[in-house]
Amino acid sequence: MDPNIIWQSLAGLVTTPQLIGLMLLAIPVGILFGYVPGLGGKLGIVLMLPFVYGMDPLPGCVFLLSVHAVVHTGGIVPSILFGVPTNGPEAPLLVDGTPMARSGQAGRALGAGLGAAAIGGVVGVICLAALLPVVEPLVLAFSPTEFFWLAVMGITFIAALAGPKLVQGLMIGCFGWLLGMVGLDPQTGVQRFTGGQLFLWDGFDVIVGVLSFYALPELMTLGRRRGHGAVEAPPAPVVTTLAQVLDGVWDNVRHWRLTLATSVMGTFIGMVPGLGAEAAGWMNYAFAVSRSRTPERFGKGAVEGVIAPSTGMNAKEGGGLLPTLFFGVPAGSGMAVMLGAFIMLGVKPGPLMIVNDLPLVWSLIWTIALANLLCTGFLVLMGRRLSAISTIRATLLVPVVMVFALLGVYLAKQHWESLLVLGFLAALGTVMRRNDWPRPCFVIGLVLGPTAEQSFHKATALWGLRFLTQPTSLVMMVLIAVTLGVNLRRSRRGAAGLRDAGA
Amino acid sequence: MSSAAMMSCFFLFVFTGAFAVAGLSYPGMAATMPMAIGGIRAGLSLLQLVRELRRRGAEPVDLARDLPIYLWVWGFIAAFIVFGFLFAAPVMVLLYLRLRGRESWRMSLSVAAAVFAMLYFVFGMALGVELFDGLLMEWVA
Repeated sequence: MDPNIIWQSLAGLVTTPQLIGLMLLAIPVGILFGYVPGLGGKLGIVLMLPFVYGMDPLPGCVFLLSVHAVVHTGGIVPSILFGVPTNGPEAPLLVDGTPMARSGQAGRALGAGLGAAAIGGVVGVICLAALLPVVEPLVLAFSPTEFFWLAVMGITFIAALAGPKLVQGLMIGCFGWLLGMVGLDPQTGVQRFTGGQLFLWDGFDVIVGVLSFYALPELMTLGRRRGHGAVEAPPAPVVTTLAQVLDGVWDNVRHWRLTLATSVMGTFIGMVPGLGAEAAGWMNYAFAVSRSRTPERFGKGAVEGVIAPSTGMNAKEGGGLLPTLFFGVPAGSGMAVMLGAFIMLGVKPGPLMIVNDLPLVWSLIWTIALANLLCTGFLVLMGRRLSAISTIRATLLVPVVMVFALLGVYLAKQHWESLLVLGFLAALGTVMRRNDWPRPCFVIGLVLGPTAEQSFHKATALWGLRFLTQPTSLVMMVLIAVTLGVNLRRSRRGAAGLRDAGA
Repeated sequence: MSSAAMMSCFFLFVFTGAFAVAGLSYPGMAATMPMAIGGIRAGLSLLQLVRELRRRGAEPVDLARDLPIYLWVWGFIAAFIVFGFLFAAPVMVLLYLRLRGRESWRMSLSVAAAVFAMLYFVFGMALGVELFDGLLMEWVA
């Protein structure tokens, strides 16, 4: 590979007014689609398609990829400040980002999330660039066996997330898994747990689960009265300075090992078709909890809980470009829409791209990196003003956020019945919140359970139960056993600590 | 009974139900995982229920404090389903701000108008998102 192509692509991108102009136009559009509940990157690309129709491949791809690359960064802001994830992948940010914002650290939480998103985006494309020479055998190495064990590995993180409340964590995780089974079973075509309801045929949407278990319980707690007096007061107004936002960005350097590890993890999760952005965020979050010496801080406003999912969801985009461009296999639903857009613009995804279209490939890689950096720079500068939102009175915030949360649920699948499901699950989520049950386990079960089940059936169809004795399976089993053992030991220590504290 | 014990009861019911439904209604492959999950976790839920019932000092359900906000949330949902987003959203926001938040008329009307403008102009006009019109409109039409 000629190294000059790498730098010529970058120079071409930043010195061509049309390309840099399109990128600067795309970034606010992407932020908007990430900021508004229920819109998201897929809809963003679809709605922008008419604008790029007829464009040359490079400017069209640069515009669409810039929109797509910054959507999750845009979603960080409302997820942390309002406690409402605008799309599924931002959901893990609620666990620690919202408590940080409520305790007067909105600026730091925003800075940490935005900084992590930029680093994740850049590390993602560095990994992608480094993997270009070995791209083919790597992606083709993934069979249902690897998918199954990766999903099981993710599910065992429940033990880390649940801490001393392991039984409750397992119950909630399995409840999420059961809800993930709702709909048409892809193996047999049988409808499971739909009760004959049409709106449940295509499954249970992650956004409904996340809003039910996080956003609505937060709103209901904010709107709950203290005794028979006034509605609970919001946190005291705190003046956020640019220094606090930058302090949050610096947290990524303080926790550089975590930032780097979760960025690389996110890239590899992004490369595996089918695991998706939700998995990247939650697996990274669980990884941060499992490696922390003080896991009890998580869920109460630990900055690592903001960094880990933010790096993961943006690093995933770099990783996701790899199978999409070189195999024509989209890594997720967002990349599937992107693939269609690439083809419409005249790009021919496939292994020959590395031979015929290398300058375009490098331009796309640089586009993701630059879009992430520019978007983060813009939002960090705006961070002080954005943080002021977190000091709005609860009485004003609750009804407005409720409207957009309900709208997000409706837009996810365009079924009004989803609102009823939300109402029921939100009541359950609120009781869990009050009893401090580990709610993140629900989303882990919901996201990874169905992947594990489908991969299990595919692997048994291909190899029978012999797939369990394949070398990959044996290595993964040992890894899972070690991870589980370490986490169980921790949770037993935590439980003993709780008993001692209670005694 | 504490709220945690009630939740354990709920999970026991859900997992036992999933086990039974999967075992009775689905063919082999489709039933394997729901039965495994439902069966094992039903046992765990029973264990948790016993633990919650034996736990002393558990916070009982305080309906007087909890019920109003639950009713508001379900009120929003019911209004959206019956009257649709464009009509129900500003009305419910106005009602919440006046009755629950005890905000001034000026503030309540301003916020309600802003919500309507956001839904109508940003979602409806600019983005072309089709907002649910409500069951009432469907029945009338």
